[in-house]
Order: sequence, then structure tokens, then C-alpha cells
Amino acid sequence: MTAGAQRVTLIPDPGSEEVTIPVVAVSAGSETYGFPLSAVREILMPPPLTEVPRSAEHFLGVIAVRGEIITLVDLPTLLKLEVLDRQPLGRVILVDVGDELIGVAVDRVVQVSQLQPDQIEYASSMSADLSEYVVGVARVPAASSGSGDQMLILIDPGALLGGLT
Amino acid sequence: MSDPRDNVQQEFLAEAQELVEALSRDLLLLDEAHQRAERPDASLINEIFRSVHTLKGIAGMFGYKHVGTIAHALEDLLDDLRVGRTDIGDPLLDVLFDSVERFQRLLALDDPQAPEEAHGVDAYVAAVRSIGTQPAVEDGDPLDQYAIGSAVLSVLTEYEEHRLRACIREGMQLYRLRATFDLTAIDDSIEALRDVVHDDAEIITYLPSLEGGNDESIELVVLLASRVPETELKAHFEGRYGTVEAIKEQKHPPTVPPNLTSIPPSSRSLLPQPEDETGQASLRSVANSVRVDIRKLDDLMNVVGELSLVRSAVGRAVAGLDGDPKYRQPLRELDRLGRGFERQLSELRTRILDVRMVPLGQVFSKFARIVRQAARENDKQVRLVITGANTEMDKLIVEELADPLMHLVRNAIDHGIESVETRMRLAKPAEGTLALNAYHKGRNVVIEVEDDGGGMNAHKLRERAVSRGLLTAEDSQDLTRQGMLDLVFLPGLSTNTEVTDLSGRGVGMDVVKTNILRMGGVVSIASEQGIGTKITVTLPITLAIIRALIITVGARLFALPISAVREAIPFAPQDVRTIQGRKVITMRGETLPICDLAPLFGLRGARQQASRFVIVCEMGNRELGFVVDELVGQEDVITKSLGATLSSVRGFAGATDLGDQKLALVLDAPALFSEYFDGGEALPSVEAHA
Amino acid sequence: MTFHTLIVDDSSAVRAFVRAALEDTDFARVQEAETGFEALQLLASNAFDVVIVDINMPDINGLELLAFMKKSPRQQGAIKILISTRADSLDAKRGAKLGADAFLAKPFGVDDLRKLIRGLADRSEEVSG
Repeated sequence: MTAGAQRVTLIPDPGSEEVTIPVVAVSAGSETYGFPLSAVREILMPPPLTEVPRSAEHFLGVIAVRGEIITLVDLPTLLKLEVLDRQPLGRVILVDVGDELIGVAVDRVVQVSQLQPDQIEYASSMSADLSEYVVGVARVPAASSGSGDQMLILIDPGALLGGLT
Repeated sequence: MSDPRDNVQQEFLAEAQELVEALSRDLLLLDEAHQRAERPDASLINEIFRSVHTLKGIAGMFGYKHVGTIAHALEDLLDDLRVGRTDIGDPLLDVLFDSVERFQRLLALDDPQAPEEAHGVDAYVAAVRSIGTQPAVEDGDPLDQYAIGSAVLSVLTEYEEHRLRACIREGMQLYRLRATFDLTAIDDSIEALRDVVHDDAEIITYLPSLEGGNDESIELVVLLASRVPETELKAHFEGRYGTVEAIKEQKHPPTVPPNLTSIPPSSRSLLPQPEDETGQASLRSVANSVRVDIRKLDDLMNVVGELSLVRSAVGRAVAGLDGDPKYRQPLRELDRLGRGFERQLSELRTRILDVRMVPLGQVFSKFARIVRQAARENDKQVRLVITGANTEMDKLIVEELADPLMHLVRNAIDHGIESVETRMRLAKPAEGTLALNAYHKGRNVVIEVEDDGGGMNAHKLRERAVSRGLLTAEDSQDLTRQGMLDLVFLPGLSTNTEVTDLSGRGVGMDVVKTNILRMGGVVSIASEQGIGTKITVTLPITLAIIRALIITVGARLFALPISAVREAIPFAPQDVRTIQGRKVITMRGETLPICDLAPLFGLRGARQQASRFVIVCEMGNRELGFVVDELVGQEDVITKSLGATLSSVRGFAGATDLGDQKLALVLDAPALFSEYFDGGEALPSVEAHA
Repeated sequence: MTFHTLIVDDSSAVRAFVRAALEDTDFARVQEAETGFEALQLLASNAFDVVIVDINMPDINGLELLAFMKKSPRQQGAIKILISTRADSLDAKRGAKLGADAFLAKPFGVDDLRKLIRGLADRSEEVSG
């Protein structure tokens, strides 16, 4: 299981034929995040977690997946967002960040959405407070009826690697 | 379409490296022969020519301009040499030896067309071209005398023609050997034929013939030149291979033709009996080897790990059936099968690890050239003796070893072995000896670099250490003689006023020691003045799988490589004293500093007052006791790296799967020692890549 | 059409290069031989459209292979390309006499090789069609 070197992006190429961008929406802490589907390699039931002493706070530890040691990251902590009620670890998504795979701890996978480029509000047009890992936000209709729209915080996988090493 | 050169670049670099190594080895043989005033072996010169020729070809294809330019100049020189237009001499050999270093340097550059290199390359090429040649002596073409036939002549290369003429001039007789070979085993048969023919004749070329073969076999006509009388040749080959027929000189009237009909050419395969294995071992091993990307081996190991997990899962599922009497028999059977499977898995794991092993001779053979060079530069005479070149070690470690070992070798020649006059004055043989020994000892490999030079002056080392401020005068009084010698590993110490720039790096013994420690090994020195010096390096055989002590700290599992562990003793908290701010205990009358891992890792030791243990570890000449909660046991573990994101966390070499996805972090003993004693940045250990 | 090709060269880097250059976009299906002996084994059981041979190999050199192929009925239709480092040498001249269809001097590029093969294939079609 090796990470690929493909370019994964939420920013469509001008003139590309892609009209929509598939995005996996996951909930962690009190927010919902979106990862480009092309970067998500796998979604797992959480395996046993081994903590790594003296590692930064946003590292939950390491897990073993088919013989590989994968680092598990907590997004809310990484993005310095306050978490009101912490759920037990529901799922792990394996994200290809370029040179390796990183595990992201999530509560649950909400849905896979097809995003139109005009649904995305890019970070550059928003306040500068947003973390370097965030591409922007998008508003998507929720999968289950009656729960209105959801706001997705769109994560840039490539930036994750750079920021974590 | 992507440029295929990018994908194949690795293939080129691997092949180029092999060619340069082969060149280096062959040049040494050529040099040796020349020193002994022997006639050079034509096939050796041709091999050298071929290496350079191939290198030129592929360098051009892959854009390595400078490599190609140098190879081209050398190719012309070597062609002159093999065809007899020039002779071997010291200037020629020097220029050839020089090329090896240049090639290695140019192959390692990021930009193969680096314009700043052009000047050096041009200067070198000029030096190569200045080696003189004289035109060949023309005395009529000896080939005209022989009834070889234009069909054959038209398919010979220029070189083969030259060899033919040379053999004729030397008075050898030409023969045709016809033999049929089974196509499927043709490689082995040709090897065997070569071995048999080797003593009697030179093989000029092999000509495939359309007669006498079929879909499964082929007839080859082998053109030979030999001094051995015809009857003897026939006796050796006919019956075993096929017919031998002399190619007659045209001038003489045809004599009674050799009695070919008495031995009918056979059209079935004539495979010779398999030869004794050992004689052909070296050739075989080269032909039968495959280049393997070490990451593929890691992937294989992962699959083995997965298989192991599946096996455990099956075992657990099966255990659920226990209790029901009707399943007792099948359960026993399953159990037996399960154990057999485990054995096979273990076997597979061992064999995959074995593939990573390469003989140390790979590294040692590079040193022959360096010894020659260093001896010449220092105007000394040195003989290199190597034993245990077959000793095998993990490829990654062997590669890391090259630099530190090279440093030790150069050190021995630059500083250890005395000049010829000094040695004669001391009634030592004029030629100094440098010995490289390697052997297995338990789970380790020991490598010794020993010279019969002047040895080290322990007291002088001590004086220097004190005068450089590396040691206080009072501490220096307590040193044993061995302690004084060990000072040589301190950074900032050197026994000469000038630091010799060794291979352009100017590193010291302290860096050698650091590098060895990083690999999980230790280095020590022994020396007697006037007699010599011996440096001993002890390394684990493989980084990939190591025996580790499994311990718990704060209810978490950790693995500590056994190579660092000396012993484990119960921890008596009441015996802890504090000296100069450090916690220590007394063990057998000696003071041992201790480091409690629970607070170090920010973990709460689950069993505070209950019985804990001190693991006494030793790295080099330092000792440290790690305080842990429990000793769980010993295991053979494969350390897997933590990945780039966690690589900055100090103290861990990686993690290992203990089964059931239970991971234990593997402690990096050298890094922990460094953190404790030196306080500075802990050194990252060499990754085990598994 | 995908050219069934044999590359005979003792350099693994050159073989890898030719394979990468030709197998891209299914231009050719490539088999490799490291020595003249291996080539003989492959020639005995395959009919190739294109055979690319290095002149300078030890033991059985490219010229000897060409001579063999010229007389072998199975390989009559194959396009024979000789690789050499000097296109004007004695060796290359001998190759021409033995029926090599073309030369490629090292170093050569991907396009050189493909154009050469395509050109020779078109030419032979004109002759036979």
C-alpha cells in the first residue's frame, strides 16, 4: 500500500472537463470536513491505537494497517478548533498526502458529495484566520432530509503533509 | 508520451555503477600482472575495453555527457592497447585508475551535464590522448595463409579478426569445433565448454550454423586457436562435444584429412556432465543473480506479516469451536496444520531477510584501490590482506559502512604504517600489512581493521586531550591505558598537527564512532606502540530483524533492542542517590546513572511502588540504566519506521507489530543515550526500512 | 499494428530503454535477450517483425546473428536493425553485406527508433503489397 504521487486538488483546472469535484464529508468534533475523494484511499474501522510519547498534541498515535505503520491525526486539534463534545473514535480515513498515507480520526462519514466549483468559497476570499490546511468552505445539502444545509471545511491533503513534518 | 529515459534512469545508474566496479577490479588485476612483469592477459584487456565501451554507449543514451566523453577517450586508448598499437606502462595504468574516481564522481552528480565539470574533463581527456601509440608492424596478413573461408571472415568483428591474426603470429593452429547444443540449456553448456577449452585453446568466436539443428537444438561452430597438438585436442573434445577439424594452411598441399567419419557428428544434444560446483561458483553467482529493489523486499515482508495475522485470526475463529466433542479430531488436525504453517511462514521470513544479505567482500574490494592509492601518495609500501570477505550482512548496513571503514583504512596508511626507511630501521619488513577481517559472532558481525604500524601513544593522547580542554587534568589521572586510547574517539582530537583531508571529507574518528553507533553498533580500539593498531567494529547482522526486550512503561508496550542491553535487575527505589543533579544507583560497587522512562515519556508509571526493573544498557563505553515497569519477554521484531510525520519525535527507532495489531514502539537506544548524556539533538538512527 | 520486437543487447539499460520507448502506446511488444545465445533460443520459437541487435556482444556478436537470421526461414520477413556506436566502421559495413536493413548509431532517441521501424515497415509493405 504505497501512497501515489498524483496531484489531488479541490481547485479545478481552468478548461478541465471536470464539472464536479467529488468530496468525502466526515464529521469530527463539532465540524464537518471535506476531503477530495481522489485523495481518500480507505475508510477503516478504528484499529488499536498506540500513542507516541512526546509527540505533538494533534498526533493521536500510530496504527497498523496491513503491516504499514500509519500516523493518526486529530483534525480539530490540528486546526486549533475547540471541541465541545468529543465522540469516541468512530472511523479512520486514510488520506494520501503525497509521500505517505496519513490516518485522520473522524466520528463518522457523513456522505460523498459532488461539489460544483461555484459552491466552494475559497480561503483566499475569506478571512486570513483560516488555517493553512484549509482550501475553503462549501455549503452542501445534507443527505438526510430535514437537516438543512451543511457547511464543509475543505481540507488540502498536500498541505497536511507539509504542515505535519 | 513520457520520456522513457526518466523511468529507466535507475536501471542506467545501477548498470553504470556495476561497470565502474568491474573496471576497478580488472584494473587491479592488470596492475598486479604488470608489477610482476608478466604478459597481460588479452581477455582481461578486452574485458576492460568492453566495460568502458558499454559505459560510453549507455552514458550517451541517458544524457551523461561527461561520463561519455571520458569513456570515449578511454575506449580509443584501450582499443589501441588490445589491438597492439600501444603497450601497458605506468602512465597508462595511472590514467586508467584515475578514471574510476572520475566516473564515480560524475555519476553521483545531480546534473549529469554540469558545465562546471567540463574543464576538468577536457584536461583529463588531453592526458589520456597524450599516451603514445606506435603504428602496428605490418608484415603481410597472416590470415591470407589460412583456408578460413570468406563466409567466416565476413562475420568476424574487427577485434575478433585481430585476435585471430595475433594467435596465428604466435604460432597457434586454428581449429573448428562443431557441437550441437540443446537450446533450453545453452547457457550452462557454453559455460561448461568454456571451462574445458580454457586450458588448451583460445575461443575466437561462436558461429551459429543452420545445419544439424532443429527446433530444440542448434549447432555451433566454434573457432579455436591452440598450441596443443591436434591429436590431443581431438582426444579431449570429440565424443564429448562433436568434431574437431583443423583449418589447414593453404600453402601446404592438403594432407590426409582427419578421420571425421569415424566419429559421426551427433544430432542429439551432448550435454557435458555437470562440473564440480565449487570451481564454477564465482561465475555462476554472477550469472544467476538478480538486481532487486530493496523496497520490494520490504513489501514481501509485509505480506508475510499479513499472512501471520490471518493465521492468528484463523486460530482464534477455530478456538470458538472448542468444547464440542464432534470437533475434537478436526481441531487437532487444524492445530497441527497451523503449526506447520507457522513454521513455513517463519522459514519464508528468514529467507526473505536472507535476500537482503550481501557479502562484505563487496565493500572490501573497493579498498584495494584505495590502499594502492594511499600507499603511493604517502610513498609507503602496503599489503592488503582480507579474510572473511564472504561474511554476509544486511545490504543497508554494508552501504553505510563503506565511508567509516574507508576512513579507518586511510587512517591506518596515513598515520599507522611507517615509511619504508623507518620500518627497515626498526627491523620490520619494508612492506607494511593492513588486514581487514570479518566474521560472525553470535547475532553480530565483527569487522577488524588492523595494521602493523607504529601503534598509538596512549600518554600522548591523554596530554593532547587535556591541552585541548576535552578533559580536566585530574580526570585524566584516573584513566586506565585503555581509557587513554579511547580518547581518540573524542571530537576535536587529532594526533597530527594537520588533519589529513581524507577523501575530501576531513572527518575524524569521532564521526566514525557516531556513524557506527547510529547503525546500532560499537567500535573499540586496541594498540601497542611499535607493534600496531587494531580497530574493531561490531554491528548487528541485520537492521531489519532484531531481538528485543519487550517491556512496559505506564501500561504501554515498548521494545528495546537486545544489542544494547547488558542485564536487567530489580529496581530498589530506596537505593537511588543524586550525584551532581543526576540520579544514580550503585551496582556491584560501581555507579550507574539511571533514567526513568515513565516521566521521560510523560507517562504515569502504572505500578508506582510495586516492583519495577532497571535495564542496564551499554553503548560504546557509556552505561545507563532505564527504569521500566515490567519485563514482558524477548522477541524477534521487525522495526518499521514511523513515517515522515513522526520522525522528529525523539527516542524511537520505529514501531513493531507484536501480533493482533498490538504495536510496541521500538526504543532508539543510541538516541536516548545521546539525549541523556549529551543533552543535544538526539541522532536519528539509520532507518531499518522494514 | 503492434510490432513484435526482439532487442538483443548485453546492456540492461539499453534493453530497458528500448522496451520503455516502444511499449508506450502499444507501438511494439518487446522481448529481450542479453546474449546471442538467448537470442538463438528466442529466434527458434518466435517469428519477430523487428529484430534489433547490438554488433558488439561477446561470444556470438551481432554480425553472426544476422548471418544466421538471413539463412533461417522463420526470420526472413523480419526487419533487422543493427546498433553500433560508429556507423561508418568496418563492422557496420559487414552488417550491410549481411542484410541488415538499417543502422542505428548510439546514442539514439525514442523518435529515431520509432521512425526507423515505421519507415522500414512501410517500405516493405510497398514491396510486397
